[in-house]
Amino acid sequence: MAVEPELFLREAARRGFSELEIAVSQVERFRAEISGNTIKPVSAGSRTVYGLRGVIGKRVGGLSVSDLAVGVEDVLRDLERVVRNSPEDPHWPGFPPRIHRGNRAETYSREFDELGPEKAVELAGLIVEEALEEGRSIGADKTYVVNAYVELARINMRVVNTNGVDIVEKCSVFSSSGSVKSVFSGVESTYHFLIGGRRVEEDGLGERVRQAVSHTRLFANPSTPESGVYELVLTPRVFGEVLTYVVAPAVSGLNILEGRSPLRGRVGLNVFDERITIRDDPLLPLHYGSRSFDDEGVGVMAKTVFDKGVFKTPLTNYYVSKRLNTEATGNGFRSVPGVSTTPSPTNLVVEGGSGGLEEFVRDMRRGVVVYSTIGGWMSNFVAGQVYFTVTHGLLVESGSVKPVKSFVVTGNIFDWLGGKLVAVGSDSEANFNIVSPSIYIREAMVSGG
Amino acid sequence: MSLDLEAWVKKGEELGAEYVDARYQEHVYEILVLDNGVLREAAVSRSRGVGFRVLYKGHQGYASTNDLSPGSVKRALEEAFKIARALEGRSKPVRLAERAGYRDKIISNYAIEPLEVDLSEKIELLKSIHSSLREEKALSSILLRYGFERDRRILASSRGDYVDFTRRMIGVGGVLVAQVEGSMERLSHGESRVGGWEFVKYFDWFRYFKENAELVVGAAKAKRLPPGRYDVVLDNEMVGLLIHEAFGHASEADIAVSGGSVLEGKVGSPVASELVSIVDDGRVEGGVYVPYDDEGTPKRKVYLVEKGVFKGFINNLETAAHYNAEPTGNGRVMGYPDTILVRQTNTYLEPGDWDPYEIIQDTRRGVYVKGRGAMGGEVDPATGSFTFTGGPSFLVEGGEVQGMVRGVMLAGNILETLRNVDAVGFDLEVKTSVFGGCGKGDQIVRVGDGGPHVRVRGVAIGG
Repeated sequence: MAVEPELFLREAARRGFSELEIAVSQVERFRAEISGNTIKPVSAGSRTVYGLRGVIGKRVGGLSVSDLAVGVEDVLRDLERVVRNSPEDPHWPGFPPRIHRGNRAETYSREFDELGPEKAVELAGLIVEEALEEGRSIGADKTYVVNAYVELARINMRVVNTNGVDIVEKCSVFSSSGSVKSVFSGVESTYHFLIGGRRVEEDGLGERVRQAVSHTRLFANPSTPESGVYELVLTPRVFGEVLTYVVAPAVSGLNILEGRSPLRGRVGLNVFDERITIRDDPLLPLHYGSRSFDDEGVGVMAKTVFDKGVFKTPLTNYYVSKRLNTEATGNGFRSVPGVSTTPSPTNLVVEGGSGGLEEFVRDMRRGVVVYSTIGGWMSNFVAGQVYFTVTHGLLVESGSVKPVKSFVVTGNIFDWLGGKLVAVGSDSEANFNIVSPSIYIREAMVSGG
Repeated sequence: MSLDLEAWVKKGEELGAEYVDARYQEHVYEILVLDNGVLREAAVSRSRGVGFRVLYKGHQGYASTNDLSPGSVKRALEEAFKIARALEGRSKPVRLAERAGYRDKIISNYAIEPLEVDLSEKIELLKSIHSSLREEKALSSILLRYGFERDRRILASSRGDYVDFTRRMIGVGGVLVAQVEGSMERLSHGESRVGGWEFVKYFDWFRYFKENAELVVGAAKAKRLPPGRYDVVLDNEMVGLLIHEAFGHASEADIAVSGGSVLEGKVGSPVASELVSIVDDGRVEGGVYVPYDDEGTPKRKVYLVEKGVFKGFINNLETAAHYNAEPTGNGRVMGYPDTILVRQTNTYLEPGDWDPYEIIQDTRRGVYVKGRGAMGGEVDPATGSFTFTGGPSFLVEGGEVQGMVRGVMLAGNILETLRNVDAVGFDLEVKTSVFGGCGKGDQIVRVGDGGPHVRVRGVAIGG
């Protein structure tokens, strides 16, 4: 069943739907994995998913179908059953009308036209080569790629609705991550790398793999620091993760509307230090989160979310924008076609300041520098509370620097980016859809030894 | 199902493959979300497709499609073969463990098919729960979910396997947010079972969510725990998280083969207190039901740790061959397009002989960490660091449960923490969830975990 959306629209009208939205997603992906320096296995897959959302009056329901053998009539009969059994949503504003803002993001790299599984294998080979070479240069007895993957994907999306939206977006996705291990005189040390974007970044991949191997020397023989209050420096990657887990859900207009965000009622107010400016920018060329339209077909725009510490605007999809009586910001995205969108960032970009890791470490009296964490996704954005466990950190104390791991760092994001902010670095780095510098915080709680 | 999987396996062999397996999947997921009384989501996702794994001279190629027309299926099979052949000279060949072929058809137990229950009945249940919770004025947000999954998988292989397995899972959960004098707190939790609508119908959701509401409102008023090392008493859910994160992942053989597990080379060595025995079992009550893995291997009950000694890794066919071990039935995938990984099924700590109340009474000063509201856990098996969060918890002073503290994060090291277990309760409980699972290699699979109440000395906690 390769079906044109128009067929769904005609059948929906016949069945008495007042509105219909069809989102078609076609994905082709190629993936090569590495295990213990060996490239295995390699996979290829193609998948088409039709997501339908139907409306009868103010009753709304959704259906996602990737079963290509099912006919249009059967799909819409199932959707009708869902919609007619749903209670009315008193706030339902309709699907968005055609909102084009004239912004066209670069979302597809032409090199993907020719890419297949062999390119994924070639890049996996590059990871192993770069790791081995860097391992030799840092004097490791042995270095290897523990595990890693390279994935290349071509994605075609089309969104059509009965209110005039009909957009097509073509995206390419390159992503890779993994961990490397070195052995120094019998002592093992590991580190991780990751990279993602809409173009194949061979140089960037090689650089991140080499940096990861180089870090295996830096973090060999870690200890655990004593519990207490420490100064804190987050590297660009870790600061980006904190933004993803604590700030991004807090600026969601839906969470603000429904009483789940600490930013409710704070538009126009100072919530962070004036050195904090954060934009949502879907127009960065070939960045991981770049889009011309969101998943509802609304044209995107760049916007400043925090301007010199002032909360300027929540991110919204069409539904939330109507309830908040604001402009739809083009941030309606969904995990699976057929479900409703929720407001999410495209590319979050933090404006850089001055200085960087070296300067911050030099200024520290007793602090920790955090390079890699686990568990940050369990942070409690509702309370603004940040939690993570450090797997790779440096303890800076009285001029000495030594590696540390296995301790919990906690604090409140409004304190960290407010009164406890010491400095914002100028060393911005892109990690998937976050562009962030390092950051220096006066104090954070450490639970360790 | 009109697709003749065994015929496609034969076609793969005719291409020159030494081994082919074909995995067909039909997946249905129904989700309802009631957000502050308004139905935010009423959606059903239906997918099906087929994925092939082909071995050529020991090299593995995977390819998949959800277009089940003969031409598309043929292209996928040929693509898998092409990939496997192209890896010759670029990858080390692997072997799959030998075993007998299995032919079976299993449907997990259920009494009432949830897809045949009127949608309005499900929505009415969520609305009734919402109405009852609205009486608690401190709740600023009430988000309720209903989820149902029907997952049918058929595996056919060159070994003669033909395993047709269907599992139904169902559950209700929610995220409650409380706001008390400017202080906000949340609690996210749910209850799920392998089964049908009967589980939802007979569960006392009103009592369950009332308890959750009291917990989250209490937490919004509670203090944060000062950071440090504490003796902790973990309830059943927290022990499940601990075991899954602190030991389960490191015992997955594919991680060990790649050189990424701190347990490599430790089979037969003491790694935990003698009170600790850890099991991986696909058929335990309350957990996810996995009678066969996605390679068609029957899931065996396996001891990872017995009386503190590491007994061995859990395996798929490839890692079993690597270690010259028995396949344990742990080769699993998220869906038909994905590659086989070694995954846990239900990992739990076997019960001991302590009464859980006696564990508390025997604890002079510590924290009773509760799982309701816990967000999950994560491990770095290579460094041995693990972490997990607990829900609203309680201080223990002089053998008595005292005031509540807000949710906490715990951290430790795989090879140290389980050595510090000094009391194991007799109250085994294992749970699973239809709303989430365990992530590894970009694949999420349903798992279960649990155990009895357990005390661990000296755990790092941040509040």
